[in-house]
Amino acid sequence: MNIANMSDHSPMPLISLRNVSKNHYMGDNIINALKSVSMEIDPGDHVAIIGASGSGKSTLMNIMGCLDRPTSGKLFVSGRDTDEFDVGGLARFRNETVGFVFQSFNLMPRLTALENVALPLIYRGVSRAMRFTNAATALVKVGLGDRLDHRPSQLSGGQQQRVAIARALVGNPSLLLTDEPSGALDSRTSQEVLDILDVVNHAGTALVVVTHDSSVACRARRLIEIHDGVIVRDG
Amino acid sequence: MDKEPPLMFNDHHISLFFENLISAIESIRLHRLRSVLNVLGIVVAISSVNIINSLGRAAEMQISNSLNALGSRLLLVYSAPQRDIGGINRGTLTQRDAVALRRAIPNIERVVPQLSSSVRVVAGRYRAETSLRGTDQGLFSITPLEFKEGGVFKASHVRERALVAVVGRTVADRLFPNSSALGQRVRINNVPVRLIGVAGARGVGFAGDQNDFILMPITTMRQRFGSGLAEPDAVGLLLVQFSEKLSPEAAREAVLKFFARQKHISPDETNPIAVTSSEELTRATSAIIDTVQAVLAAIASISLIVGAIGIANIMLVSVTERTREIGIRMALGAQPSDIKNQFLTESAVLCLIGAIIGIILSGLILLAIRWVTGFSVTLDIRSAIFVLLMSVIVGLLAGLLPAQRAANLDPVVALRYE
Repeated sequence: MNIANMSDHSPMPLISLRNVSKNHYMGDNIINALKSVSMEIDPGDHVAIIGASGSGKSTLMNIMGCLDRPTSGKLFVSGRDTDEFDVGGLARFRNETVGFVFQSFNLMPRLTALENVALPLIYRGVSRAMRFTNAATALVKVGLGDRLDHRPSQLSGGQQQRVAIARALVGNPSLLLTDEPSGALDSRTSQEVLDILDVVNHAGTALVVVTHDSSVACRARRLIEIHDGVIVRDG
Repeated sequence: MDKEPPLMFNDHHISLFFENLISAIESIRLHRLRSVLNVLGIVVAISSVNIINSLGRAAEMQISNSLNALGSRLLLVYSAPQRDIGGINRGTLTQRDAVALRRAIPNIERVVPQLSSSVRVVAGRYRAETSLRGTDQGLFSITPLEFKEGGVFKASHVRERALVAVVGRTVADRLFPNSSALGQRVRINNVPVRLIGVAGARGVGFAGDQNDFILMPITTMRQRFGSGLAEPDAVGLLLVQFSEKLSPEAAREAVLKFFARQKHISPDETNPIAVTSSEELTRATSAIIDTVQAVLAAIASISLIVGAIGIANIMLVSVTERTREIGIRMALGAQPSDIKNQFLTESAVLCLIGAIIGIILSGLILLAIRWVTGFSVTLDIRSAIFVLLMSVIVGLLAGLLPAQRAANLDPVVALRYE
């Protein structure tokens, strides 16, 4: 726990990267997806990360969400050094602090909307009745109160992404990480989905949107541009 | 973040266990055919184990029953198969030997002679082929019979060579299917005989039907049918009951020594008289059963191993197919142990389903065995519970490697998996 050197920041950043590098190994080739990146996400932030495909923006998001560990450098979450976390500790951080929304929705095809949304709460030990109450509330928030028992295949793309957002929000995370959230949607439904994300952010959840679409990026208060694993713009 | 680490088996674990159970059943239902095919090895193994155990238990019961029917503290003395030809057969047992044996060894309580031969019994238009045993009233003290009707023949019957017989239940049913056999007259190889008792042996033995017999005084049998042996007062078999003061081995030794003297057998000759105890007879039978059981158990273990490999294989396929699902669960905060438990549960449930099918199958096979052979065998409940537990353990072992592989997946790689 390394809080001492973070104390000059106010408020304490939610996520803090210090000289983070990430290498991917593809056979004999080493790809430097991130090269000594330093950045912070504050509570309630609204950040867009833009860059061409292969620029390292998804890798950056995975590291911020503790899905992946840096090859070198430090990652602090709420002031705590993630090097001290074991695999289970990372999982618990994801479960309690982060919500993920993916481009391809990533819903469980065999589960209903309600069951999908309730899923993260299973791993937190919430009782069955409580899980379904919270899940229903989250689905009502994204406007799907009348689709609780529908399976993903019975829902449109926009509806599926709203289920995914409800699933990301059901555990009241402080950080919502979204990777091309509207990438698979037509322009009208993509506006609806982005509007919901804005509402979530206004309610106080930090929002990070990874995108290559400038119309999506311009909704954010802060724009981080990444190129070849290096942040070229932050502000 | 600052939550206490979960305690052992709190609500959280129970809740997760039920979620895993539901997910496992769901997954198995989704791949019904595949699951059934892969669980076949387990089905075969489990039903074999069950059949072996049930047959073994039934066999044990039969052994103790037939021991009861035969009587304990009993020696069977008979003429050993002879190799020397010419001269008189010194191994022939006679009525005189019986009397002398009874007098010579104080701890021998009873010596009962027996002659036997195959006969045809006729009653009106019904007939039966059975074995006729000539004996005396002492038999009824040695091997207790359950009398359905009537009773035993008495010493006076034996003395007077009375034309009476006690008939086994099976023979009685065959000769008098619609009426009572008691007091009826039948012809045994054309000799008219009155039936004074209908009896059954206690329990059902192994070697065929133990109620297929007809008993008559040995004196009557000798007079009417001859002994079939060289000497006029010859007997085929002596049933010797000894007192509790003698061990079966000591009794056997004493009897052999008596006959060596009685028949003038020198020590370098082989004794033409053979002695077997009732315990030895049943021991031989149970040895055969043990061997058969061991062979079946070996087959069952091999099929269990094959079955477990089948389960491990299908679980590996299942983990690979659901790599993306695992990635999603991990992203949502599933602990590696949660993922591991999910697949272990699925593997155990799969094996448990196999075991249930196996138990049903073995029950049907045992019913068929019972119906075809008449051997009174039922599904052994203790065995069924044992195989259920065993199947869960096999499932957990078979699922260990695939579940560990699932738990060790890198969430980023798993999420990208197509």
